[in-house]
Amino acid sequence: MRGGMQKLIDELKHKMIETLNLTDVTADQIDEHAPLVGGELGIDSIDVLEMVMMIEKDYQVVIDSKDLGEKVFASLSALARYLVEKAPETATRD
Amino acid sequence: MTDRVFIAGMGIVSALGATAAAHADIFVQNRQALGPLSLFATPNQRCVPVGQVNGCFSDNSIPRTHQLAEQAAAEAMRNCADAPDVVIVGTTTGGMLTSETAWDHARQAEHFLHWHTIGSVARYLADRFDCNGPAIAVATACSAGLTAIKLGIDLIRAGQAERVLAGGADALCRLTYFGFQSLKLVDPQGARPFDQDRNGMTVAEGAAMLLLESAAVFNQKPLVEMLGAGISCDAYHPSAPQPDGLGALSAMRRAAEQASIQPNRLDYIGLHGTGTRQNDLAEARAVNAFIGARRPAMGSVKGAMGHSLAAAGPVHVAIGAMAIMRKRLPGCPGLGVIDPDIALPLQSRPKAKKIDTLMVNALGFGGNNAALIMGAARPSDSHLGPAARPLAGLRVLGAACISSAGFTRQTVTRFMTGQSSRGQIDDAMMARDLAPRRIRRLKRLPRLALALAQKALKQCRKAPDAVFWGSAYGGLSETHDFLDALRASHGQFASPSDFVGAVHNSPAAQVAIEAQAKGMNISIGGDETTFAQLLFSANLMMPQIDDPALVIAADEYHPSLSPQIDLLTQNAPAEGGAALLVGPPDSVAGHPWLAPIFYGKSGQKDALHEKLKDVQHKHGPFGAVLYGGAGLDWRQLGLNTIPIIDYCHAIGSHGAASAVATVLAIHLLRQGIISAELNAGRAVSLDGRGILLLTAGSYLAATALWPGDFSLC
Repeated sequence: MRGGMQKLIDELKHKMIETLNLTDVTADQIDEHAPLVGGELGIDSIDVLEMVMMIEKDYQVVIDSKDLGEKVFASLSALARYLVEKAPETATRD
Repeated sequence: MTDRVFIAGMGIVSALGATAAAHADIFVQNRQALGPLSLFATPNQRCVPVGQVNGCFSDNSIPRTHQLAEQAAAEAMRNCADAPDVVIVGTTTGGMLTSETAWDHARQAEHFLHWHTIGSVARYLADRFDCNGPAIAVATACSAGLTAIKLGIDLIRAGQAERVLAGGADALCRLTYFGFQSLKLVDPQGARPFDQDRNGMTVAEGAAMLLLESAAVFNQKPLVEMLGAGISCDAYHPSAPQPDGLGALSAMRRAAEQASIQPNRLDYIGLHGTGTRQNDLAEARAVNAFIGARRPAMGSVKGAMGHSLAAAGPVHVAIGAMAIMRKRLPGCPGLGVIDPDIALPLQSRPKAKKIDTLMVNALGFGGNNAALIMGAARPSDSHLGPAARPLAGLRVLGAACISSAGFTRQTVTRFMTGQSSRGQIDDAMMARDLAPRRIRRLKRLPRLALALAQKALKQCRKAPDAVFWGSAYGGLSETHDFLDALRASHGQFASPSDFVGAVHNSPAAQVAIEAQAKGMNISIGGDETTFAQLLFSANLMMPQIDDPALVIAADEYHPSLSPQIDLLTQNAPAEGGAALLVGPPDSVAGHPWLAPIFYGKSGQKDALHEKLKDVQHKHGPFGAVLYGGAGLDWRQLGLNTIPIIDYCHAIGSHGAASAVATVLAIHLLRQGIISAELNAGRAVSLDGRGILLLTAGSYLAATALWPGDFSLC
């Protein structure tokens, strides 16, 4: 399970870089425990909404309120935990 | 002497009804006319209530926004036998619904995006109501209609017009219906402005148009008078409001200053109040700071008909006018229990009240804020604001341009040596001096705007406070990508940043954030005369601006959209733009002086000729002409003895070509010589004479530029 979680976190890092066009960072430079919004990466409310759309598209998990979004996007590890909770197969898929 | 401005006629179309009279109900009860959308299909999980206008529209080839505008304008013009001198209309959507429908059916008919542009709404109204003068489309999102009315008021006060048709119109369309949802700003239960359980706005459509007349031509009993208006920019975030409402507060204070009205004199405030958690709170903070101890009644009407975007401000102004005439206040439809954090004296139910003066707010996306003050007309003119300063042109303190050749130096060099710089701009070159982190979410048009602003600002140490931004076609990349992704996912997925980028004033918000320019901020959508319209507006507003202003126009070429919108670019892709940093004419000497001298419908060659004679009589003959377009008879205009240079031949025909041409003219003035390559092998000295810039299409625009050592008599 832990291996699956780490794989998911790595996947999310790459997807975040792609979705938000973060051309000046690499996945291994992203700290999964660091706050996303207002943190070092300069992520704002519109970025969170782009991520919400990506999560719905790629993981079929819906985040439909601003409050939930703020909780779930507190950090990448928080996001990964939420995805595993809502769609357990994401932590075990290839 | 400042002239007084009266409302001579008005029309409203919204979910509540098709005429102003149909809105009388709002003074009796808090009816909400929100309901399901029937204009286009939506996937089940994205079904939210809207404010849709009922009734059919006769001509399906004219887009819905244009028809809504026409309907409201027809009511406003009903008792007027004369044509308006100027048409100014705020719109966010333009012909978008028609474009989307055509896209949906993958129609390959020629020019299926013919009505696409924001500017086409203003031109359509000008055609329908025989207006030969300026037709301007304001694109500052939700404050566009109110800003359009402010421009109308200032035009009349400056003695530039007697009769102005001004207002706003927006139709429902997929871009806005799905776009606001992608930002999670829509309440699935319908808007409940200022309510403790409010959860978002209701996207709606509508139009409201006012016929404004100067006291000189007004021949009815004066009932409602426009007293003043103010606009500002948050310079904070592309879509979220500044949380303390500081930008909104600035707009309200500017309105009060222009109207010479103390906030504690207001009897009612028509709040923007969309029902979103953040916007309502920010506005409440601003209003509380504005009104001080005496607290007038106030409320939002958006719970009744929804948020009709650019039309919202004018709708509330028209309702405000009715309130003055009927001596009744509307309530605040949709409000149940007021949010304790709002702390405003909201008028929850309609009631009788004699109103002397009221204010209407419109706070738009991108931090574009507007506030307008109007009142019951008084017999005496003792309340008149300060006399309007005369319009006297602009000093150009800095100038930059871009084309496929590169930035200013490359574009100017290519031009001077008679070579072309048409074609598309290299993306890496465009962004080379912009920080990747800053622009990561921005597509081509905002990148052009930021790059141009950056280059122009380098040339003058004074920071600008005002921004005038224009584009003929808007963010085509964002529009295309948003609608493409929407269609591919059958309405399921829509990118919030593409939506924000597709709204016409988005680049202006980016520039304002970059320059921290919190003053006046106006976005305009025109056609090939977009830059002329910007200069016209900047010239009008300059007496109200203390610091320099940035005037920027740019247009991008999009391979699949551009050929459908604009016949001119169909076989010859071209894109580019320019930025000028301008100040009042009496600022720093040694800089070129620019004066907009004509703008109106083409076919007015005689009027243009008279104007040119007048200008040359006052300031001496022109040394050269730079022109774009066709149908100009140089002999008839008295210009056939000087070099005539076709700028479209050099830089292509796109919406912002005349902006680039303006910078080329400035460099020609600096050089003092028209090179042989530009004048059929014969170099000609300018000998200190000025240059005339002419753009001819369906509209005719003329701008004059004189060299830096030129002084005004």
